[in-house]
Amino acid sequence: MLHRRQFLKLGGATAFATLFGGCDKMQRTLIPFVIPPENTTLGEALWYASVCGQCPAGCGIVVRVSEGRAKKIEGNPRHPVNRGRLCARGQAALQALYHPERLSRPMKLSGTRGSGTYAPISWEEALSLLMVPLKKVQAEAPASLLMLTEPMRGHAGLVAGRFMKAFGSKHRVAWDPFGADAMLSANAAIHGIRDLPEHDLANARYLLSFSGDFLETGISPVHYARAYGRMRGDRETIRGKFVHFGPRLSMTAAAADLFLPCTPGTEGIVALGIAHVMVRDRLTAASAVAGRLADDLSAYPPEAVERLTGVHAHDIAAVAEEFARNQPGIAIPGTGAATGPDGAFHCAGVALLNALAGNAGKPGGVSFPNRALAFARYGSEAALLAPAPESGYAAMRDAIDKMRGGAFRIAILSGATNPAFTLPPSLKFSEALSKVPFIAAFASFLDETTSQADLVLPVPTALEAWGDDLAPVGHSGAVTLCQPVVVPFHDTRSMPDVLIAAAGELGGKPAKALPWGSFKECLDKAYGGPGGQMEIALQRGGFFGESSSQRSGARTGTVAFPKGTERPIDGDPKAFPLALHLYPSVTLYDGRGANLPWLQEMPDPVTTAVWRNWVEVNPKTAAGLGLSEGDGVTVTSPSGKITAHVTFNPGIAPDVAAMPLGQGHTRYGKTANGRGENPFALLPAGETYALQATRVSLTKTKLPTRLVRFAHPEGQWKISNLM
Amino acid sequence: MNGSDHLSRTDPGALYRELSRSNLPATKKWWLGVGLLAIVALWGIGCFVYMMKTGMGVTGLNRPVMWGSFITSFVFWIGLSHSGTLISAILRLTNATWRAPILRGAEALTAFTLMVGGLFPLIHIGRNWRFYYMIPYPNSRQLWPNLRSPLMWDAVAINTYLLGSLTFLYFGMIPDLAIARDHATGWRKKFYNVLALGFRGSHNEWRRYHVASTIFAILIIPVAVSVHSIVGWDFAMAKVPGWHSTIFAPYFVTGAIFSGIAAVVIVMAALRKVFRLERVLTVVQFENLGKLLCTMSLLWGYFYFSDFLTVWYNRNPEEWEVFRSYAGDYLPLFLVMIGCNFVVSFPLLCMRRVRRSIPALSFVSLLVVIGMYAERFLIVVPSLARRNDPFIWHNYFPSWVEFSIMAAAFAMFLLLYMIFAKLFPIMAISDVQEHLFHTSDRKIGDVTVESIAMPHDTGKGGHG
Amino acid sequence: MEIKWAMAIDLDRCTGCGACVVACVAENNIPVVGEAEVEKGRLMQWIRVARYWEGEYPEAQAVYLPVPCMQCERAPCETVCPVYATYHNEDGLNAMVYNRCVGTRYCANNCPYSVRVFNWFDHVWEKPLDEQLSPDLTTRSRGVMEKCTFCIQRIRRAKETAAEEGREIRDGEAVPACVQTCPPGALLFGNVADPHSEIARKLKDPRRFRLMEHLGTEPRVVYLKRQKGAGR
Repeated sequence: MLHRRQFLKLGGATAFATLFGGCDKMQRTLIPFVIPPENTTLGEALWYASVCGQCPAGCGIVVRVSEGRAKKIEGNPRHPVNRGRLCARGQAALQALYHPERLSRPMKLSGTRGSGTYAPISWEEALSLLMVPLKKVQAEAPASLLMLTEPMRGHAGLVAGRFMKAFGSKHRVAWDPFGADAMLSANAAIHGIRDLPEHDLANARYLLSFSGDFLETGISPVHYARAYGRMRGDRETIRGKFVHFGPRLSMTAAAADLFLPCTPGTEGIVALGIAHVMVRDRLTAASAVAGRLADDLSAYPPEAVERLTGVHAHDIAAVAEEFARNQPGIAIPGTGAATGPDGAFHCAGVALLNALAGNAGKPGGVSFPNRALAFARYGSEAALLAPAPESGYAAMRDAIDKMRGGAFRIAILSGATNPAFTLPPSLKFSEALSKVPFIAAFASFLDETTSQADLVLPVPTALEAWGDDLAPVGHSGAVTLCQPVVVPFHDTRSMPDVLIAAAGELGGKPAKALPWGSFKECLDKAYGGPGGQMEIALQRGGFFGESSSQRSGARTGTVAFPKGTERPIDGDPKAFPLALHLYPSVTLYDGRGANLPWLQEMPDPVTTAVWRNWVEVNPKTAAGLGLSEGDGVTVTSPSGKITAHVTFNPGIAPDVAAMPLGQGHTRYGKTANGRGENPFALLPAGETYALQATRVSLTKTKLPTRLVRFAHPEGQWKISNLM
Repeated sequence: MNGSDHLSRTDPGALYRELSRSNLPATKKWWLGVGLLAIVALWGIGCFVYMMKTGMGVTGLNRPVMWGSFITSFVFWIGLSHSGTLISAILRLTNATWRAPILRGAEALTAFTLMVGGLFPLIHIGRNWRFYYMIPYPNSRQLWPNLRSPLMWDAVAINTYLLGSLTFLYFGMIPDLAIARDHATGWRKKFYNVLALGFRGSHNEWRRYHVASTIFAILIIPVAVSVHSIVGWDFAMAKVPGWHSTIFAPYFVTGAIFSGIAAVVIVMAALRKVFRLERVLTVVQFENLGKLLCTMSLLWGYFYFSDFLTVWYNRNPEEWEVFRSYAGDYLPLFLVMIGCNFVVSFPLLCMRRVRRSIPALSFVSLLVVIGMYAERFLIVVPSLARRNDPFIWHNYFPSWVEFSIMAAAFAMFLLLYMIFAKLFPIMAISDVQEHLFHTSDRKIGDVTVESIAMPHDTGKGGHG
Repeated sequence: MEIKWAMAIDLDRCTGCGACVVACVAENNIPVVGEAEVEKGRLMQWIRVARYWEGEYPEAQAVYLPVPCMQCERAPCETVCPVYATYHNEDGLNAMVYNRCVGTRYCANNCPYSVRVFNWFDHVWEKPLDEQLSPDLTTRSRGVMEKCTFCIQRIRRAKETAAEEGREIRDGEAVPACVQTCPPGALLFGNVADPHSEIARKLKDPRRFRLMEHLGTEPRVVYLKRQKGAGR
């Protein structure tokens, strides 16, 4: 029998146990309410402005921070590039910040080189490991230092540039697989300015796109997507018309009112055909230009263009007339046109249309922002802060040759462009890199390039670091400021900080060139420091001058007629019947997004595929090859061979096979690895960097994987059931 | 047991012994059967626990096919339940003389199929451990179930039907329990003594019994009809092309009775074989059930045809996609359904030879049960797999977990039935007795036939 | 002020870029399910950009149709829920009460737009990815239905700010994450009860239509047709 007292005792004990058993699951670290950490108010979120680093567009962002953690990234409403908007990739940067595989501390190689096995070390040890060879090389052969980065803008570029110069090496290579080389030289030839213009879509009445990808992965997708939306719907009575020429029904092409498929690598010829009709029918406003070009253009009558491009002559004539009559009209070239072996010619053909339309400097036309304004005080060094958005391919090839020849004793790697992944393997970058005795990499993740390093130095993400930036388009000289929106999540140091420290230790010229204690100090000096205008600018996200007068029109007097050069596409059409069209992935860009689950799981806008790459073909072509949707194929080019799954794109030219870039990682973490093979492997190691440079053949192959698409293969044709 | 080829009219003890063979002490075979079924059932329960712990993701369900094998099984089992109580009630009311031997077996079928079928909604829901949110219990938040939801109608209807059927089963069994009490020994005597509720077979008791059973029979028919109408309405009320159809309620009831009769045939044939009840379960019962089955097959075919015809003629794209999938991904199942339910079974059932052959009729019934399972699947799944927005169409195939649970449901039903047959009089002894009382044997040449004319005492007709 | 939230989706502006999808995922703690689960049809994203094909080469076209929850005025999901886990809130939105949901999935079946997603499993955020989870809303456990809420937490935040400052909520102050980020400005959100709001103006556009209007669900999401040609 249980007595009353016993019962009470037992009951009390049980209650006690229950209470404190519950305590066990409680939060162990409480944020003290009396003295909370700086900027932490419980339940209150703060927004900090910064800049997006997921692609070179340089969109302004604001980050929602709650209790010391970044929660969400949105576009900065004040920022001239994106005005509060942001693309999928930009928003996913949050996952890079809190990525489980992010490098949290310095590491030194512990296995054989390239094995990817590292041992964690302290920053002190890491810096000494870096300084010993640096000092030695500076003393013996300073020119054998190689710095291989992504294009660096703002003061980070200044620090890196000055460091290399003071060190005594001119081997600073900036690599960007989607650099706008062709567009730059085309604009130099047509407009007389070697730069990227601002295409004022918002005020245009007519938009011609030549393999344009300005809505997805172009130079500034958010900027142009916003402008596109305004072109379509912001004016009371005008809706801009959009005509797209290109080899594939891409996401951008899908937005067009009229999509006219053309043979890949003929975009410029189509443009010249349109120019021909404009000049022939005296439809152009710029009659002076027209007069000078009439002779050259006579070689491009629509009929001849039809034979070369597959676009009907009457379509060319009709588009030419519409374009001329609906001014302001604008012509825009895309990555597809610019990255052929003859990209400069195609881009020049397109730019010529703008010159003919006489829209330079006008609303609804092209204009060139005055970049020099932003960093005018740096004089000759300004190019370090606002470099032209080039790919750096020539410098890269040169560096590879020199590496192979043993010219470099130290390589410093940095940036997300991952050359071991984004260069054609036929260039043998990795092999050449392995000839360098000491490789130090600044990185947030191990990837195909950084995993070859001897020393890995973890860097803060764009959300944790100080910095500044100048966007390539849409900015009118505005400078974006970048600040740590959260306390660095890991034990990281930014590359400029490390370079400044290294320069200090090296002493002499480097120390004089980089006279600051930290990168923050460098920025403070440049922008007026705390308490000055920088504080306000940091709140707003940067210095955004509001004057459009800073834009300049192009000098149209120097129009040089684009000359096509004979650079045939690799591969015999008999053995390799399909032209390979490579394009940056809408979700993964050049592959840097491949380790972010949000992006892997976002259905591709065209194929709705997730988590894997594919090869797009026309259903009729596939039928001819005996391929059905989802089949595995081997894609063979003269330079390489990969496997992928077939998916149909009913709007792709029948003689084209298209593949998105970005998948096919082998050493980029578990989210990215093993999701198809890398299409860069199909590219030849050409003189110029070209993505549309080869032909391929497809052969059916059994693959152990399956391509997962969000859309139902039959249902996706049945919109009529809905509407 | 006497050597004659028909039941004893004179010896109630002999009659009881013959009709209660299922109650004989358990044999090895019985234990083996129970053991095997228990293993399957336990495996299924294990799978259910695994599913509950892991999430519904272990099934093949997806968006848009949010309902799959569990709801299919639910409709199927609830459909089977329509045999027993409903038929037995109708036969009681119409005083069909051949009914007596099948009453108990059919009523038990109802009870156990309902029990098994009723489990499926609980298995199906994502948070089974919160099932009680659907019960209107008083709570401090003053939250009540939503009676606008057909699922609540279902819950009410099925519970009513289950309680009604159990009462009907038990009530009908009381005279038999009394007989069993009178003849049994040992623990069974005590067991039946309690359950027989002191029924002595007095005139008064019988009179009340008959009045009450008539009232029960009248009341249970609308309940039974409503149950499957409501199950039909679960679908018909929804904005799902292929579900949203006015024909669903009567069509579901028809299908339910159809599959139910088939199930009764199979169970009866099994009981007859296992417990050597050839003398009580004669060809007459099977032929009559066969006729019913034939009628229901025709009726089912008619309903299906008229539903199909309107959709086909109307060509509303949303509904048409569902029907088109019958010719596409779901073609095998569609052929199984049409074949088993109508194209093959109806002509066979029209043949007297088939109806009078117990193996043949059992085979056709098996076809019907399979066909009706397929039909339930084809009602539930393709309509969801071809939803209004074609972009998210997705097919569905059950996972091993679902197959395990479906198999366990069969095992559980058989287990319940076996245990019931072991413990209770599976034949309605008193009804058989009553039937025998009303009839007599008459010799015509070499054959002895049953006659409702009374040869000895023509002045005494009927009882009470 | 009376509040009737509505969303307009201008198909003439939509480019199908998917920024709305990631914005929604980031805002609403939506789990990533992986390749195998997507193949099974279990993508958890609350808004989908349906891409339909039309025509044959060379006239082939892709049509993008972003589909969030339509927040129907006569919501078919609400009537069928046996436990009132989904209901109509005071702003006219279809709200979900996760901890009331028992997971019958009837609501998902009854939604002609198929916008409801079900938690087939307990989803995990590999550490430290969970640091990103928004504190404004819960993560959902297995067996629970979920769907687009028009970012009810953002609406509440805007309402609270307005209330603190003692004023009415301003047009454009409360916007769901997808609308906030939409690069071409195809999505618009606002209070149609306010005649001066941008959305009220937008909804007068003759291009307006609603998805599956014949079903009588009275969606609060209004689409504006894709246009052809240069004029308006």
